Amino acid sequence: MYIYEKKGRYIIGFQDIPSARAEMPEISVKERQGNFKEVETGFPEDVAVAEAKRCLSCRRCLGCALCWAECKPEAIDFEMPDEDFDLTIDKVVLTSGMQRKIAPIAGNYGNKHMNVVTDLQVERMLADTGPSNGLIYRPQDGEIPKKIAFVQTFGSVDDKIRDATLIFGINEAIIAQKKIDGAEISFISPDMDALKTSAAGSDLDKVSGVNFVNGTVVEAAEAGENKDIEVKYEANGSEKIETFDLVVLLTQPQLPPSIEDAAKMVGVEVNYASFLGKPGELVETDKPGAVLAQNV
Amino acid sequence: MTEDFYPRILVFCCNWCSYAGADLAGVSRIQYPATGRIIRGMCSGRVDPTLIADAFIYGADGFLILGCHFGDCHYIDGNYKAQEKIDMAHEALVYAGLNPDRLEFNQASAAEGQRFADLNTEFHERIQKLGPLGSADKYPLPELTERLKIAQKALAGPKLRWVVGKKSVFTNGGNKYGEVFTQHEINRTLSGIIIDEMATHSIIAALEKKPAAVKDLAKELEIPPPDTLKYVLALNRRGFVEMDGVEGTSPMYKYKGEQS
Amino acid sequence: MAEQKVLVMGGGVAGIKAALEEAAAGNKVYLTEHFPGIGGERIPQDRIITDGDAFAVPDLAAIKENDNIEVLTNGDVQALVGENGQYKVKVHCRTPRVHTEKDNLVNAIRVCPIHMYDDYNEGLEWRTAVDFFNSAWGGYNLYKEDMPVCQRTCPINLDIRTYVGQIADGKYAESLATIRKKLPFPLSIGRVCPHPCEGECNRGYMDEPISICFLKRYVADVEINSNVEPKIQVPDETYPEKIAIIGGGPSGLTCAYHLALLGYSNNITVFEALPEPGGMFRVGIPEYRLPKAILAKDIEFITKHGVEIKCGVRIGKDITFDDIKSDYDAVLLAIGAHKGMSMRVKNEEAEGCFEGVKYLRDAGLGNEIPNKGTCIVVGGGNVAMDVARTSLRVGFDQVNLLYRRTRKEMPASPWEVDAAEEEGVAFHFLVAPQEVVVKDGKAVGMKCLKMELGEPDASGRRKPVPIEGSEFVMDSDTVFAAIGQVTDNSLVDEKFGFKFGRKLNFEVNPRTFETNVEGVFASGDAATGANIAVRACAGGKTAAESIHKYLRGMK
Repeated sequence: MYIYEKKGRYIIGFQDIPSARAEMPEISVKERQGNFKEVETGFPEDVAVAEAKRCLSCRRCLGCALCWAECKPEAIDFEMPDEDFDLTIDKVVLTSGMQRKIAPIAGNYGNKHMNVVTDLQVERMLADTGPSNGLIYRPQDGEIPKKIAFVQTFGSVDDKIRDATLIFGINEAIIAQKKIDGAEISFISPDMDALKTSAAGSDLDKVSGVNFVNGTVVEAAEAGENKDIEVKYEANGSEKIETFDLVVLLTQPQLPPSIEDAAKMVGVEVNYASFLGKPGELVETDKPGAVLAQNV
Repeated sequence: MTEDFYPRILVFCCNWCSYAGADLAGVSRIQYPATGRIIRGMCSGRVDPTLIADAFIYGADGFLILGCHFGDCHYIDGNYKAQEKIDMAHEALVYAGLNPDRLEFNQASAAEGQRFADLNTEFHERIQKLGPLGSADKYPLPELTERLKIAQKALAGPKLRWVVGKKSVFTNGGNKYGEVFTQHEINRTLSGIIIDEMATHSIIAALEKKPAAVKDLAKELEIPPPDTLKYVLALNRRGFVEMDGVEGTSPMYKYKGEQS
Repeated sequence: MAEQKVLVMGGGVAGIKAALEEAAAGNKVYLTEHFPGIGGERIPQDRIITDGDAFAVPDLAAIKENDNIEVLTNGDVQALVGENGQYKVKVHCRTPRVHTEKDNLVNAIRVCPIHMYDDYNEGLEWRTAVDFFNSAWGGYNLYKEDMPVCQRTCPINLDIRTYVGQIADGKYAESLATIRKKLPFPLSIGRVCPHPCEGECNRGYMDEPISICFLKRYVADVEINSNVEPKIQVPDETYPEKIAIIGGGPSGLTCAYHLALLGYSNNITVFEALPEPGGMFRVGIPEYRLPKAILAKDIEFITKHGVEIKCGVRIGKDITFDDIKSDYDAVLLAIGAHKGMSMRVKNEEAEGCFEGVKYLRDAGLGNEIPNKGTCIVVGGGNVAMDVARTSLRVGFDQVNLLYRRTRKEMPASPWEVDAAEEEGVAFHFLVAPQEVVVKDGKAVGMKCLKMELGEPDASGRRKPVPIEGSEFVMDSDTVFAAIGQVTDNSLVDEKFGFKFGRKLNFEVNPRTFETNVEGVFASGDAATGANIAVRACAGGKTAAESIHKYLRGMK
């Protein structure tokens, strides 16, 4: 690829990529026997300079002040300092934030492929304030996907978290289904049956146009020129292979470290599930003055 | 290349050193190929990157820019500026597909008639070996010119011009945050902006002609589709392009013009 | 009810709703958000959408209009302390560098020459350095990251981008000076560092990471190969306070170096228990990885800054900790972790069983060590590799290394494992020691048990489970246990009331490296538990800064 950009990185594909890293010269195994001679002998000058020139010198804001020159006077102030506030408050309201565990997604869900996205990315796509004004698209080529699979990637978690995440995904599927003409949407989760019987899933029958599958994904791989995603999944004891334009991974939510730290400092024990249950309400904790704002 | 190829070479000379060197070569009756057409300007630092692109867009086979020796500039640091700008133009034009040997920056003083002649002879022979524009380059002629025009737009834009102008500031004094760049880093920075600008301007040029889908743009411009998409979305965010309906499964994008 | 002050953490839909409710109740509300913008519509997760009401949309306009709500974007709560039914809060807001009211910045976004990752849109598109996050809120900011990813990963935050760039420019002396601004051990760290920075290097995502560590070694080698005397620059005016540093290893000496740079030159005394300075650099890392003569150059550079090193002085034996504490204005405990951990198997005390670290120490100091027959090394870390490779060199015929998980789970650096294997160390994976077999009071072998990997444990590594009935005996003349080190903290008396951690390390404030005893600091392995050398150096540097602040009465 030309520009790498996943997991918070933006890396320009300079023309000297790829080139191999310099190898450290070493003395042979035979020369090492019975003595303590230094094994690695160090780079010669030309190798060192060539290796140093491979450095991409990553820097984003250049501090070039072109924006400053282009704006009205003093609209941009490079010397503006950080601010610190010391407040005395009577009550602290914690919210759950929106953060997902990305790292533990197993490789078999194919999250390194272009056309595999996370549920949060799809939420951004669907939102009017998002990058595409509410259009859902394939990151590979910008096309509108017709066949979409929603896939659960996490194992057993707290029931409340599971339901919230699945419903979040189902709602995305419903909106996507409304937005795309002739969309075929599959929703694959091993907990589908469990959701159906829970209180949260009582409205599930009213959803039309989404194919709910109680199954487990075995593997998702890139297939064909268009880089569609071939999903192999297990349902009702048999294995099926289906090709999708876009695969959406339902990821496990977690609290951001800032909230966890704050909760620790206040002295209340919270996890993501503490913010679920009474949507939109403020729930007292056992510490006076500490309140949890429940998610909607 | 065949002997009968008679290259069209532009030679820029600054008023104070290299033009006087040419004069000296003339009055000393030193023989050198007459393929170079000399343009006299006040300083090599005044050679604008867009003009370098112009030379090749209008069909020059080679461009030799001669200034004073470093330290001898009549305007103190004009030739240092020239070096920086020409290096950048060189990189952009080569990125667009030009053979790197077609553009050279060198120095000759007023007393170096022989050197002036030698530089001309060498450059002439080099270009003669390369052949006419489009023959030893990455792309053949009409296509190369199109790409060079894109490079010219990139060179005319504020981004490259501003950053290249800051080159010595960044490596000596530091940027707005007081961070000093190494030479290596500023070169990387410029290469990165060239890559970005070339892609952006080629997308704009294609969308100016007609609205297109990302998939087709990528194929036409030979940029990987995911990157094309990101560039188009970035242009959308900056207000240069907008979505213009959907055809089949493809959202179409059109150019909005410079003014938002 | 009187007006209350409320802090709402998080500018999501729930946070905005809570803020508006609290403000409507007549309270003063502070809304903090980590991002530069708040809000953004959310898809509900509490009910299945059955009507047209698809998104939960926060009322951003109401927030903007409400005078009782103060929005602190770019803000992080740093401290939150409960006190008499109230909370004292410290909020740190990173600067946006933009006055939005003066211009709408559309032109700025158009000209910004770079693209970068857009957090708010989960990387779906690019933003420019000066830009907004959420278009509905506005909230323009000029985002500048503090450090590139390599520098952020480096424990001591070496300016890698600059020193590597200077090598590319051919400016080796400048490059070395850049390194020495923070790290006084370029020769040693350049040889032994397991370079976490290279694991994060952006180039690693495209092809292979830059060889950052060996480049550091290169510039440092250039200086000794060309016989250039390094420049020593310490402030002319020095402070009168005397500082004692206990332990002359990576952490202690880095602290001494930085204290000298801060103006305590000639008032710093380093007490080293061993006959030679260098700590683990000298007695933990074998000669073939870090020659003693090379290490001596680094130490010489530090001592030239007005640092006195007293070797062969063991606190508690040659001089008491009380004396040190009363004679000096500040004390740093940088005594490392030099005590091997027990394998907790039977007959571990038999003749022929050794602690890996002690063995390396004896080898490093030139003491007599066992060197005949076959040996078993238990453990999978870098110390185990060092022990195995050293035993091969001193004359053991056969070196067997036992590790209870597989190669993939080994904590040792992969290149060390490869080198050990090349040199002829025999690896036995999924094998756990059970009991040292003893004959006439002397170890003659090890009874082992085969293992298999089970479910992942808390650390994410798969837990080894014994296979029943798979016991076997491996013959051996010598057994080395290299399964971790702890701190020998017996030098301080109980009366001081130091608090200790799990690895018998001193418990410290992680930001300042202060212990719970006033004027006493601890850093390096003695504070963090056994860790990599550059982290010990980083701790030393931070400790130096804290000692300076403590002595100058700065908070």
